[in-house]
Amino acid sequence: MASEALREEPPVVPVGKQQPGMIEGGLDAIVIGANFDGLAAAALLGKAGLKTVLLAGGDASSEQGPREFAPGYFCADGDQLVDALDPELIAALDLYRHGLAFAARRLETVYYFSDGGALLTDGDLYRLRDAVTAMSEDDAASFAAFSEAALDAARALRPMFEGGDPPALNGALVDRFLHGSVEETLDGLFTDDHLKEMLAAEAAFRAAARPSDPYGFLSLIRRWSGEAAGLQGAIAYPEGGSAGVNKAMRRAAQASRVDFRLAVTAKRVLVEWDSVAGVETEGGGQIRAPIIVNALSAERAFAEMIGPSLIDIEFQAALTPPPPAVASARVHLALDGVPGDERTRGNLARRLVYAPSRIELRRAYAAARAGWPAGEAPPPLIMEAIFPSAFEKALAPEGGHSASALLHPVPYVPEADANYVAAVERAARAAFDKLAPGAAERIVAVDVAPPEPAAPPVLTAWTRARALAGASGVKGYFFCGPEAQIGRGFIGAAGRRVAQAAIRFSRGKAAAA
Amino acid sequence: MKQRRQFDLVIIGADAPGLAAAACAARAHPDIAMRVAVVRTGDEPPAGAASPGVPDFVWRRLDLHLSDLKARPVEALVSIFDEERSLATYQNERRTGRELERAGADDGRLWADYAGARARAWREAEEILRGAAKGKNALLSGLGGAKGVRLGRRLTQSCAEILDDHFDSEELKTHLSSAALMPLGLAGDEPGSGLALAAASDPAAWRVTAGDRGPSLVKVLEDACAAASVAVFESPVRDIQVADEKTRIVELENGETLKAPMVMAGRAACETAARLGAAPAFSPLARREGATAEVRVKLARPATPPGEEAEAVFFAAGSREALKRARDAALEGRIPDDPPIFFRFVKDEIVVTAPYCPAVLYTEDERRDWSEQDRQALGRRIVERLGAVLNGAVKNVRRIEVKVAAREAGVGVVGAGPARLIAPPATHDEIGAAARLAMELVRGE
Repeated sequence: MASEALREEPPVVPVGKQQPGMIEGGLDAIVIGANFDGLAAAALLGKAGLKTVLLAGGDASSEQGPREFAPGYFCADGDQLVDALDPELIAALDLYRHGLAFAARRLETVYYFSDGGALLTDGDLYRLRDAVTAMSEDDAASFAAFSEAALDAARALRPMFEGGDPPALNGALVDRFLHGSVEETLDGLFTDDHLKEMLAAEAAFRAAARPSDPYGFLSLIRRWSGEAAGLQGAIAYPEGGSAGVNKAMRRAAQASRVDFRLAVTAKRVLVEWDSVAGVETEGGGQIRAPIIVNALSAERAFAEMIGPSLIDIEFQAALTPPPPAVASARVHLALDGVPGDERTRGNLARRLVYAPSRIELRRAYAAARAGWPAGEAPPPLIMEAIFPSAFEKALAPEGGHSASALLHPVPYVPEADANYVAAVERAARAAFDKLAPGAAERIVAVDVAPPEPAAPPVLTAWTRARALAGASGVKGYFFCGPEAQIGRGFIGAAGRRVAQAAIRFSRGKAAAA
Repeated sequence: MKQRRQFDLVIIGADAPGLAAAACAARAHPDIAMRVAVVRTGDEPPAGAASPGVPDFVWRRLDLHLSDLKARPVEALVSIFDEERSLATYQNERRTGRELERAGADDGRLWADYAGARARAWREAEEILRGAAKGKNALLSGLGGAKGVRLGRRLTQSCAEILDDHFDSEELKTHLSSAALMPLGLAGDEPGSGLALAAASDPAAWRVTAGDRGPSLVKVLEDACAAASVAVFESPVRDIQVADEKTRIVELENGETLKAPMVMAGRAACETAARLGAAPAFSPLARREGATAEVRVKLARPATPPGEEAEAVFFAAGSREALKRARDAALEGRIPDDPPIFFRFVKDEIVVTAPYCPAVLYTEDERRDWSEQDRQALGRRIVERLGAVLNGAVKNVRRIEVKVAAREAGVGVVGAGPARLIAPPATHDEIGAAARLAMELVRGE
């Protein structure tokens, strides 16, 4: 297995290189941060022949295997599902050869509604209209037209979602998608409440903006622009969850001869004249290179490592976004069994989503923004649930099942305290019972992960990402931290784009010399 | 049934925006006189109320310089806070800066900076948005390049973010949020509300009142309509039918029917337009959800405005937090407990607008439309609020008239099919928006 191979590898850092005063040179590029985008950038730089060092700063969390959260029940931390994995990146690094594998592609989704209704939809968005026709004949024609326009727009807008320029597009609907709120856009197109609730749940899921806020609808288009296992808009379950994808990326980076310094932490970026010259490490040494790719947060990458004196004021304003208003909560559930009927068995291999009614969703946002007043039961939330043990048997004991659920929206708290955990558990049990009445009684253990801040509106994220990409003013400095990513889920496009820019920069320098 | 008459454009609402739009549309072509009709529905503001400001292009097109119009802008926008404290901004930016500096806060020194940046932002944004209104992906292409990054930030930034960046005084921030956002029904934390803040710097956002001697703006616009042979009908509208793609039939309560390829509302926030399901043209400034209530409180004798400033528009929001709370309450289908309001004194009436009302009400989980009881309850709550704000100056209430402009629940505005009725985009420049839309419609753009 890949993970064992990794663990056997001895720490590559000779102790002497961290000694104060030591200066190391002869490198082409330094990548700071071993998250997915950092690894991707490093792998591409290495593959392009640049002598690249990756400073992981002790951040080896992605190397962990499944965690035992209850006796015999295992879960992987982080994202379980993948809906947007930069196809160019996969192809450029041949990630499948490095161990990327999907336990399930094109997951079918079952939506559950507040009135007890349910709808099974195909994993292929292009076939979603069949399910919609079965649900609402009135909307069948308008949905067919809409889904075609939306999927076309999603594909065409992909460069923009990766942080690039907006493309030239025809069709007035696109401008509407761009600025419309989730609710007004859906009201303008459809009449069926279930259809609106289903699409509203997908658009609002993991998003900070309320469904009635402008610029919210675009998040659905952004979500539909992604592809994970070769099909636009489809959702896939990678083996080992997001950790599995990280692992493949790490192996790809190693294969392109990136020099991993797992324990070295960069403290400061050295700027000489108007260009980067290298980094100063926590230990007091220096590593010098003409290109630095930073995958840490914008705050750290610019304010701390470059320093405010070198950054212009308008740019600084882009560094500190307002604090997140709401978050999503990840919950792992251990079930000692599930009913043996055929429907349940089928559903174990599907993605289950509770789509609240409009008023429920509005109340959910209001309550989350108010911080869930003590003593009140949280209103129904959007919940996405899957059963990893259905794909990987070893994750649960014989007869049992592990479920992984993501609830949205919940209040954002920096530290999850006991009250938060108890309230989230309560909301998870309530939502789980809507997916399968009685199933909540089979829950034997619940594990609540810290809250994940919700994604800002796509346009906000896009403008911030562009400001961060373009305006630091320091030559040779490239940024692909979390703020460079637009929307939730894996993309890797930010890492790929900065690597491409850095390679161009490097070749330009070589040509000039 | 009376004779059915054919027009090129029918405009619902004979208030200042409706009349200006009608006169501009009638003169839209240099050599053909367009047949335009205006319907006075009874929803119009009372005579003597402040009208929206007139942008220059309307002024020129209607030759208003030839009229006796001596309209002058309202003196001030005034926010009233607890304990009779108040804060005002004036059309003259310098005066605002001076007054703020006199109040002693640091905010006065930053005012000029803020006002300049705000006006620049609006000029830039307006250009692109006006193109985008025509639906040619102008918004998208306007977002390209370095300029687009800035515009994109402005489109999606919140009013709260920008004000926190500039000012300290919570009351000043509340006042600026109120004046910029309440007329549009947005709250300060919404993406895009920052743009509304910039839009409020439009000179035409300042409302005007008639001078002491000259005729009112509405009167002057009525004359302009007469000169352009605009037909005026006086009757509430019963319904609008879509006969086919190019034919709308407006049925009036008095039995007359008007036929036209297009029908537009003078403004979206009036009861008739909302009831008929007006679809506003593109604007990122538009409220997304909820309704506006207009409450006319008729008194036995005229009340004295605070500070005796009869020529002001008064805002009572309380705090920025209250704006958000009210907006949240409206989303959840409740009438807010302390509704933020703005109001003007018109002779023996106080005309109050409550911009944060639910479009549909929810009792428990049951949703229902506005009933007469709901309207009366809202009216009482508003009079109560007015009494608290004006410290007992509201006495001898004779009559309370409540109108709620609520879009029917679930009626879309993005519009898959042909719209029955088009409304101008939400903006502070109501006359300009209506006139522009009317001219585009008759020119077939």
